[in-house]
Amino acid sequence: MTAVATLSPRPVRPLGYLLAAAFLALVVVGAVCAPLVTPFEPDAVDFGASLAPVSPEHLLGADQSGRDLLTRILYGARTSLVGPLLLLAIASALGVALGTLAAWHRGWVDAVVSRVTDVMYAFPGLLFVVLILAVFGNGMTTAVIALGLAYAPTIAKYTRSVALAECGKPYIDAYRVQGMGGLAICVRHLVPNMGRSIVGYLVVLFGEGLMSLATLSFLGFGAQPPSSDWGLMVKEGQPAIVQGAFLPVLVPGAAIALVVVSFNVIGVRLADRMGVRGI
Amino acid sequence: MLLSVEDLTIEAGGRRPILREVSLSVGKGEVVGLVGESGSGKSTIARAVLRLLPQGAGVSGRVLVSGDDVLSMSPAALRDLRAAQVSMIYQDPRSSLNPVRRIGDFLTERMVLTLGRSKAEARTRALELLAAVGLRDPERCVRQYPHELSGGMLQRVVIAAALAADPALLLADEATSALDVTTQAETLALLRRIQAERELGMLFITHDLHLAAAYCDRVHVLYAGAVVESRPAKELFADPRHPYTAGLLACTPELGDPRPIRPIPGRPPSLDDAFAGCPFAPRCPHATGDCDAWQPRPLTVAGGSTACRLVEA
Repeated sequence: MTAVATLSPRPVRPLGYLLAAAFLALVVVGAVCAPLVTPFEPDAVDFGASLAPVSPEHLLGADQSGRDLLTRILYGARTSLVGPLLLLAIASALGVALGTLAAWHRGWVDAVVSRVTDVMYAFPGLLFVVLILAVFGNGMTTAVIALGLAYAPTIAKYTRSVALAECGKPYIDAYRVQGMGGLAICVRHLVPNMGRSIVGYLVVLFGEGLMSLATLSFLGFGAQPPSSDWGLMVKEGQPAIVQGAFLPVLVPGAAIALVVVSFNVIGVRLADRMGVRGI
Repeated sequence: MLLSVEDLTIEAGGRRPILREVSLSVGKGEVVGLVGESGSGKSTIARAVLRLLPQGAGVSGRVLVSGDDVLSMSPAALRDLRAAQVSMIYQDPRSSLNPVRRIGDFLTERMVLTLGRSKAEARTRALELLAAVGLRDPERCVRQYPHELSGGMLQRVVIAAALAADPALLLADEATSALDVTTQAETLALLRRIQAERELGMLFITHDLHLAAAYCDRVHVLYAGAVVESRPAKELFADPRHPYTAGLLACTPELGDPRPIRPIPGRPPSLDDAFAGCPFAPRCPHATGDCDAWQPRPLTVAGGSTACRLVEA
């Protein structure tokens, strides 16, 4: 008997993927059930507990005003997770529509859309967003809309490349020769067929969007006090470092990093499973 | 005439046109074969009938369906033509169905969207059609996805979809080439039965000259984008007048024939091969020096025409 080398019958256990998914589930459940999880209010000031260390009462410590950090992180998760979601909703609605339009029409429509997205690409995204915020004023709503616009070209470019490949498939011609209009074919057939790969891409973009929003809040353009948006928490916790307390910065910073990494891990795995590498 | 293509020339950037002055016609209840090697322009003709032209193509000539010129009609009229008058059956049924939609949706959607029927009516009609193309248990079939059906079953679904609008003209583009031989025979018989029952005109495109000769009423043989011989199928098969047709017939191996296979020498012309005279001259066993300078034109022979100067001699 000779041993014959075969591929291992079981795929590698996706430990990272499971961890990431579990962590995200924990964060989402915590954010939704925040009032049940902690006894504190997110903006209840208690100067007696100012810069409290980790203790059974304050599991992750407290900030300068004595606000419980765990409570603020959980409530902050609401803005910090819903923000990127809305941002991507705006960006993907615009981007998918533009990308599909370009791939479907080709010709001058494609040229215009492609050149505009190229120009947007060349222009630093954050600068564009800060420009919009300078015109329309600071705030979470403006920041989400501005970032939505800034992310649209990326999605448009991706959608266009996927749509070009999809348009070349015979079933699209089959609908065309049935006399169906372009709009009906795109909305009912083309976009649903691209859904899988676009969603995989969006999952990775979610992490990026979260980080961009946190950046804007950190710079003071996005969420305004007394919101407990994670980016804003990092900004507000900064002065405490001088007093030797790291928790007010470390806790929201770690929350951002872990959530972004989790989304990337899940996004990459989704892309792998769909055979779409290299996004 | 149901379909009449007149002097259709399509150029798309190569050194010779994809199609050069192609003329053919299909009458009601008639099966017309279109035969040629890959790259000879067979599919381009079928696609031109539905005005699916290559990007940036230069087109001249006319394509008339029931007297209306497809190449110059308005977008609304074109959609109406595609929806109701002409249907196409493709080579690969698996890739011509949307993989994420059920068979039933594929059939009913066009009836609802382009023909304006009600959902319930469309569903009843879809079940009728699936039964008509010989699928057992249509009720089950409409709930299935394309990947759950075999190639032969899918081709029946595509045929059912093609019949949904009661078209007058069917374009069968290598409709059975992707199927195995037994399924192919069943599908051909089915197409023939449906064509006869409904008196459809059919343009039957294939690379198999024997099949075309057995299946069609008339056959056009295409070489390098031009029709080289147009004859009634039986006469063409019994007495090919163009050396290319003769070569195609001779190169099919037969059981019990001890001679080696006799392929046509040379290779099929690509779009980058330009010809001053007869495009087949470089591969033709009968070619003389004059063939390289003779512009091919259809010459009348018994029952049809052929584009070879040697028939005159």
